[in-house]
Amino acid sequence: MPNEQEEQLDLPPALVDALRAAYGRRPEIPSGVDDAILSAARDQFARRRRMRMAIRWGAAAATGLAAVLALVVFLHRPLHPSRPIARGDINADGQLNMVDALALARRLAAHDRLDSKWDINGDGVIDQKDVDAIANASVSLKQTGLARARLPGLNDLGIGRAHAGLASASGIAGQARAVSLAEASPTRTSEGRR
Amino acid sequence: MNRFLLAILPLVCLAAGPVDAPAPSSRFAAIDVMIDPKGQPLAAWQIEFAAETGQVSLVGVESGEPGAYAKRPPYYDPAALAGNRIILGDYSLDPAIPKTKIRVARLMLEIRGAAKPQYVTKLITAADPDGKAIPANVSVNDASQPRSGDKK
Repeated sequence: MPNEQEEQLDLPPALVDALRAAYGRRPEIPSGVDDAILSAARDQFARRRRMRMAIRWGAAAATGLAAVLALVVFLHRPLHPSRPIARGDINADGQLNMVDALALARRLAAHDRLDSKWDINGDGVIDQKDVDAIANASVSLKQTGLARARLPGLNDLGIGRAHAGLASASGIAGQARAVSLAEASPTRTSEGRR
Repeated sequence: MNRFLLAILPLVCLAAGPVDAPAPSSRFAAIDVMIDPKGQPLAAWQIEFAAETGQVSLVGVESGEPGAYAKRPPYYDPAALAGNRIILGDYSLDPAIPKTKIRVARLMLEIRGAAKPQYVTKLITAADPDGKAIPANVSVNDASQPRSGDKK
């Protein structure tokens, strides 16, 4: 094939001879150079291999550490999500209402150990004034929380205005409940009877 | 001239005087707030009361019937007076805590106009002495209308 190319190139014979003389024989490379190159190549590949191994081990270790951390966090999580406890929320149920006043009043009456955070009015003493402060806060029209929820209107409750004189509602705390005129009927009065 | 002025003076006074407009009728009513703890001791309670329609203003809050909730009026926000919405609540350490239907408060209302007032109540909380929520019914009745068997 090279001969065909040479023939195709139609080079001058002198140039062909010169080229053959220049590239026709392989240069003699000392075996030491080959060994040195081979050794350098092996070192290079070994270094890369060590780097890859280090990266793999590092990633595995990081993954394991993350898994351990996740497990520790999971095992030590609070069983009930913590809710912000409002000032005066004595029973720590997340609501400020009359039950908190009752709880503090009972502790005061029983001379139980008192927590300094129950000093609601900040006068340095936990006494009836703090109970009153909690009670007053729970009935405040400006309070936030459950009691602030809009009172359902008669229309919301499905009661016709023409029929409702007095209405009542009941249920367990915090449960909005339909007003029942039937329940109120024993005490129901009508303006027309005046 | 003086006679003329004296003659027309009463007419001028009558013309300048206020026109007799029909005065808006106003009356007062007492509304009893009743809670029925259904056999459980009622150591704490809290309700919300609102007048739905009509020109109704709260003018006063009184205590409940003789017993655990008669010693003082319930807690309420004074800002509720002159309005038509109020949150009431109280607790009791009395050993004789009521377990049956009881009047826990009485609301004094001023009702203007002829519109029939309509009231809505909502139980916010009711608890036993341990602070445990208990089921209860809250109702209101018009105490200004005497009825047999009423505890006043």
